[in-house]
Amino acid sequence: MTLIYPIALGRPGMIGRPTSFPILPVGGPARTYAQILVEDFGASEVWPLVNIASGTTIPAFVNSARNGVLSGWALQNTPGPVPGTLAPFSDGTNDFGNIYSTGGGVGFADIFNGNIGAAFMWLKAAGAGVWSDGLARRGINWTVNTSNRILIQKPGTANTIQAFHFGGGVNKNVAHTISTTDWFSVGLSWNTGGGGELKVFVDGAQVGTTQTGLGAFTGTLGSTSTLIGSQEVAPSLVWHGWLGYAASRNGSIWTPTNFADMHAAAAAAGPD
Amino acid sequence: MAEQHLYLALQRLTLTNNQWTTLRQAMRDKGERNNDPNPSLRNHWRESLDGAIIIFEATFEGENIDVDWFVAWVSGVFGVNAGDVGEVTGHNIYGRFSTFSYPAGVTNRFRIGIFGFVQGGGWPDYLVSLTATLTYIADNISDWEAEILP
Repeated sequence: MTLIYPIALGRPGMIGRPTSFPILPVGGPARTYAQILVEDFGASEVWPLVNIASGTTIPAFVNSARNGVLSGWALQNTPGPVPGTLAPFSDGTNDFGNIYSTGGGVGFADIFNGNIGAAFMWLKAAGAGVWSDGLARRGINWTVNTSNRILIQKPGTANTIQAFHFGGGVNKNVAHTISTTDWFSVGLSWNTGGGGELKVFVDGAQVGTTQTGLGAFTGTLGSTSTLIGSQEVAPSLVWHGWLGYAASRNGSIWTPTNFADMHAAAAAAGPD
Repeated sequence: MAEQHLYLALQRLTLTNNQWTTLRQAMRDKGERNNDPNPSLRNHWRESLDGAIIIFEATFEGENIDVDWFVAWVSGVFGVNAGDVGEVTGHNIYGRFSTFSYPAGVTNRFRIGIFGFVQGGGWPDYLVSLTATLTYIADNISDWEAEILP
């Protein structure tokens, strides 16, 4: 049998689908980026930071018991790392995001594991000059005390991003040269067992060398020192630029492939 | 007078603890948009390491942060005539700074600064004020940051 008019194309006056008929995507709308970080990569918690419409609450994606509190950020200030998102701006002077929580065994301080775990977030500098302003600025500052903490920071050294694991006073860190004014992701994984290992990733690729000899992490995260974009709630070392999607994994690490895939997934993910 | 979103510095000189606490609280209570949906417009602040300087960011009504307001505040706290309160205003690279004294010209009590306010100019816009604040902190980093990791 010969079809004179393929049904898929249709034709006015004919039975069949008109050419203007909308074609729906297979599988429904895209999953949000936080959803992907949790479902595909096992994030323990994600604070999307983007698309906060108003107020001072930092919503936690997995468990609202881990919601944080922000001060001073200009909300929904610039397009975020995920299409359809708007990220907050931290002014570099007096802003902070406090994601400390505890209670019922589910707070961030309750689930955080400084001996085996990983952290990941997106950052964007306010301008090229930030990279040469001579000031340290924190992206992540998850601290028990100066001897036990996880940091992502821009140090005073020009054009550098740096990630730290402090355990029992042992400082292991990796620094990486960078001067982008675009969004970039930073991640680190740590495991203090078996001789210890710290790996740091920028834009999904490992940077520097794997650090060994990590110290054992002890203590519980502090209520005024478990921060995004600052060192403390009394603001200091304040990030100057935009912040997005801070994520934590506890009790296991993300692999190099995980970091690469997590970075790449942002471009095609749906907005939170 | 229009609202101004900017950075302002308050420096303690010779106020007593009670006077300083009162003035600090008065400044924390200022701001025309402290319930604004956007937290950047609400009054928030940062103190120097020794607690003697506070940088406020808020949306201020200009007439509520001008010299007359602070003169009236000093006269009220000390229970003296406003005419006995001294005030000297100067400018530097960071902005406009006014020093208040009581008795006038004898004992300086505190200083208030508006970041980004240049001599002969009007109220600075937000980014000008922010840039001046960032420069000030960078130039006086030992007063503001306790720890710099290598």
